[in-house]
Amino acid sequence: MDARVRRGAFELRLAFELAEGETLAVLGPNGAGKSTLVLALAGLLRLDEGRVELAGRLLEDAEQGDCRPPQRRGIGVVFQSHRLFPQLSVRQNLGYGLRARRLPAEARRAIEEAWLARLDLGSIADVRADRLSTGQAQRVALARAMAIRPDLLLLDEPFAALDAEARPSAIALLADVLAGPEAPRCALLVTHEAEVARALTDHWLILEGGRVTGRGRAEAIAAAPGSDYARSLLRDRDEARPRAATNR
Amino acid sequence: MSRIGLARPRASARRALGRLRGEGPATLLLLLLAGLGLAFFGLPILGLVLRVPWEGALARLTRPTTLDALRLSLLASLWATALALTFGFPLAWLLARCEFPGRAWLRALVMLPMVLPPVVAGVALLTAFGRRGLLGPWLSARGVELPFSTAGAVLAATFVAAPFLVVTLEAGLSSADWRLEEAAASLGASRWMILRTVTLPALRPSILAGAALAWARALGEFGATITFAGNLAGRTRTLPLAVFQALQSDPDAAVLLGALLMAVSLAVLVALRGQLLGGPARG
Amino acid sequence: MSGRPLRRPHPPQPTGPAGRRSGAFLAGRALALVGLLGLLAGCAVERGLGDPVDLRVFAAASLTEAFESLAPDFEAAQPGYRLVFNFAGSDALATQLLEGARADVFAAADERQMARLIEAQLVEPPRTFVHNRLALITALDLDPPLRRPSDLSRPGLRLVLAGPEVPAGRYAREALRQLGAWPAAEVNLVSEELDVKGVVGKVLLGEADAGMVYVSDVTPAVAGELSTLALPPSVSLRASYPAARLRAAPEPAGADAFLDFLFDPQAVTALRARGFETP
Repeated sequence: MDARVRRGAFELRLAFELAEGETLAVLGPNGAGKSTLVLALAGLLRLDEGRVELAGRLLEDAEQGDCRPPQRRGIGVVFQSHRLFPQLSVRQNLGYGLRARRLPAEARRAIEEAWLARLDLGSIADVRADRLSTGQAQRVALARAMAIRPDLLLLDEPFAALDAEARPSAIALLADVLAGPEAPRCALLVTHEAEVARALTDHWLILEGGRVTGRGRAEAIAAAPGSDYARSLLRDRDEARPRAATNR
Repeated sequence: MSRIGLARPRASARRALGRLRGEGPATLLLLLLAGLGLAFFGLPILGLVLRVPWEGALARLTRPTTLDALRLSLLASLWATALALTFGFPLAWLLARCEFPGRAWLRALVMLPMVLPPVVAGVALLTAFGRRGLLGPWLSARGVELPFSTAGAVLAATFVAAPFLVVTLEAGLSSADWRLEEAAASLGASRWMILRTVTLPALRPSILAGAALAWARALGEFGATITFAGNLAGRTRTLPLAVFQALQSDPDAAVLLGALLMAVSLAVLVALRGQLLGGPARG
Repeated sequence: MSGRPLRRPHPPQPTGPAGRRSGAFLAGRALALVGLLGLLAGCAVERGLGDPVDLRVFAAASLTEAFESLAPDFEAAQPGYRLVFNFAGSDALATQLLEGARADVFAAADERQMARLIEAQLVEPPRTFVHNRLALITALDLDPPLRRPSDLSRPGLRLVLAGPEVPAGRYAREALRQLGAWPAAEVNLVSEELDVKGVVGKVLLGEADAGMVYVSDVTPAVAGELSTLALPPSVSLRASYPAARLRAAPEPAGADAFLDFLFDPQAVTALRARGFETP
């Protein structure tokens, strides 16, 4: 990706590439442009300049006016507040993307069952989404995004809504999925918490005020922090856990 | 009052007193005004009900002319609601979701029939669809004659009722969570599928409320109907027209018909109210 | 009586001739409503010395133009009074009065409606002050034009009449029967208007081809836009207009003065000019 997106007075300008199988954590304070990045990648926000490619396919090219709609990008998104469809059951939420792709009922059923089992959702398969706990909702959101077998999985603050107790297992489960056989080609984790990023990947990108201020291995950034923000992330290393708890 | 407060810890006593001092008179005033408002709405209804001539009521209500009027009223108001939904939803969507120059003007135009005296609405309909109206020659060349027809009564009711639906739907659309639509789009849903599976279900309470309002307005429609569609038994004489006409010859029947109209609307509105209360809880 | 707070209704605004043309058929209802609201909401005002007293006249819609044109003459002759009119269908007025509306004079277009008030002992004995004959009106551009009453049953013609409950509608049906055109013309009836002004309106707007109204309804304002067919003298029907003082009239002297004025040569001339017949 190499692009510029304007959103009101805010401008996001960044370029990066992801290797096959890579999980990249995008870290930044509030207002850094993390959400804008997610929306632009998902095709929910048009680029003003630049281009996005994924797995050798051109998704968007602002100069040529090309823009693949969200449904043809092969990108799955786990949103910050999960954004489950409240009137649908867990199973229906999970199968939504498959239904949109007009998958035959049997094939859809098989994928639904696989993910219900994989994320331990079998017992609540027919519960309406607005009756779930946040922990359950988070797993459904992950399953829903993964069910469409995305090339790129976008995770936008996936644990922000969870309380401190529910977090470790949720993070472990995500790590397991990202390492498992059904893993997407690559994943992008957007977060403002170093602890979360550290738990899932050591490929980091620091985003501040719409600009990239650091990119590389977590250790490399730690050795030579490019900004006060990066430094503050690393300072928290030792007290990361309690801080995360009080943040809740 | 203060004595009760003294028995409590000081701070909470002060808070309790504050509540009584600050809110007491205001609450009383509100309750008083609410009571007056209730009386204002309730008394005319009570008066009407007390005046209902129960003797021979059944015979009066089952007269063919009454049944005709009731049938026509239900027919016209339901058709009007259906038409309002068909054209009102896209309009509300346009107003709520699309930025374009002149949107404020378009919104005002759509709401205009709400403030227009219904008789003026009827004249306006004549100038558009009447024999000498803008589309009159075009319509009659195709054999369509709207004035003095049941279709005309439906049109009149739609004209005055649809704005209630559009306004309600627009409010619903503006406050609906578009982030769910984004989520659906990210999962590959087409616009149509998003509309069907996300937008419309979320809008259910607004649709029901708007449809109920529009239906109620259409059921009570009088002025535009008499002006545009005229008054003929079995064709355009809806219940409100029948009530007015009965007032001239048989006031007892008018009261009875009025009560019937009220009972029918009340039944439907109460039934829908249950739906409405069930709706938003899911939000 | 003097010095008591007087409730003054806002006098109904007479509609201008232009407004009346397009909305003639609504004027009566609208005025009735304004009158009623005025009675409900009118604010109490101390009467000053020398101010004219309101004289409230409930009059049939078909008297609108005639009474409005008479008002300045009456007020000039009786400077102590100011006329406040409430025009509506006689039946609606009778209902309002039976429900307790306060008025000084009731002038009806129909003896039946007056009879309702006599029966309720609300009025003094009435006097008939004018008669009204019927006329057939048609749209100017009606093609082919209406030549005789039997043409009313020709296929495709759109006829409007006042409803059978309304005096004008009752008379119209009876007149057509005497002419041999009823019930043959009933197939062409497209609407039963709530009052005679509604009939004029529908024909004026060109939605109806023909209608039956009182001669007095073809006012100068609309005469040029309709063609009028007087009924042959063989039709003996005519509507009688009785007027009476309300027993509870707040201004009984003024009410009597107005009733007397209706038989004054000046008023008689004006009423005749409006198409009424005087006894």
